[in-house]
Amino acid sequence: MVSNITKLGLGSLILFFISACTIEPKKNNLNKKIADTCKYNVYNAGRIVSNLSCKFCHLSPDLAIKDDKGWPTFRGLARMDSLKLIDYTFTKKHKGWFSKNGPYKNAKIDTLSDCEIRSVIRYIKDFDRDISLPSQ
Amino acid sequence: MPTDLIDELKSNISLLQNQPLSGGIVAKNLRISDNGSGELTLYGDFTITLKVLDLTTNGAPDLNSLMTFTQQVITSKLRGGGYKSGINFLKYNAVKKAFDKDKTWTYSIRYNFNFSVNVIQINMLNQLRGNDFVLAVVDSIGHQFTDQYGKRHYSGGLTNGKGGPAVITYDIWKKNRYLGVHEFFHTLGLDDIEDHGKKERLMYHLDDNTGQSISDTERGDMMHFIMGDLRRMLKGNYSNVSNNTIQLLRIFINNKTNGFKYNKAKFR
Repeated sequence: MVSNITKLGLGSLILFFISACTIEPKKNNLNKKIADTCKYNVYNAGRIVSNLSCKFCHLSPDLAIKDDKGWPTFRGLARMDSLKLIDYTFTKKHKGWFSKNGPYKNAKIDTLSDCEIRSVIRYIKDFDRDISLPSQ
Repeated sequence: MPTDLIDELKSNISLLQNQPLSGGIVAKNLRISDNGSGELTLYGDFTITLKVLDLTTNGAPDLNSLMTFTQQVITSKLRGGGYKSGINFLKYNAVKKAFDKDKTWTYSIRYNFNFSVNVIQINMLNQLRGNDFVLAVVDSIGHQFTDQYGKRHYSGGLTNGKGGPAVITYDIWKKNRYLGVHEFFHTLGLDDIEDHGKKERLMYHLDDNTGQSISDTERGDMMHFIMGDLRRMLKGNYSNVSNNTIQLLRIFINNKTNGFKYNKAKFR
């Protein structure tokens, strides 16, 4: 009985060392993935939103979440789910309007990096967060 | 009925009765000229009003001088119109003087707006309407922020998002006379700049400005904010939508995380 428990314990210990050795490189890969060099810069994000002329259709700073056409205001966009916003705007190219063959193809939404896209989404979401704009 | 809705109704009734409009932005003689080659020129006469509420404990003897300076700088920065290309919107039909709901177009827009700027002092909250712009002057602000370089700063002024009320410390405003304009331009939709390579810009906010310039893009963005909706250009006249300024200011100034110190007896 004791011998069996000892064998089991030793076996577990060996398995632990083996798994520890094999997991180690994965841990490094994970650390590499977590390291994010994307820094949010409100001014740069605002420039992208301005260049894409988002606020011409999505009115700002209206308190309502939709305008009289039924289009979401900028505040309305801010209250949408981030993933849906990314999918609708950057994957489906906003009903295809911003795709290579769309009417707004010159807006060059395709040239935005992943970091820029995430920054734009944060800029939109922050619009409804009543974040104070500080000044020295 | 919420006060902002009442203000909205009053504004619409005034418009229908041809009575004078009021609010932070009052626009008249609005019109669009289409050159037929993708450029729209927008015309209009705008009156911008910023109301200043003194909430300091010991009074603000230099307030009039600061307000005059602020009025002059805002006027000067908004002068000269603005230009922006790559605007994606509905197609304009110059014959019908309407935007086509089913067609899209990419325009360049030339803003040819005239501005009259007022910076006036008020003493009571009941002198504020839902669509007014307000700058409250306080004794101090405890709020701090960390810049993109990781350095902590005290805030000399704080604005409650785009279109919202602003609060400014009197003593810091005296030292940095441009601070009132900086805060008001947040209200008109501009963001802060922290890039050390842009210290000459008015919206740079890390205390070692070397200038107070506004870029053409920023001017275009402010013109767009002031206009709000391109379709408003077809109405001839308008005043800005109500953002319930009094309620926003009340919430903002009582928010403990902002750390405002002021004479509460004056906030009435």
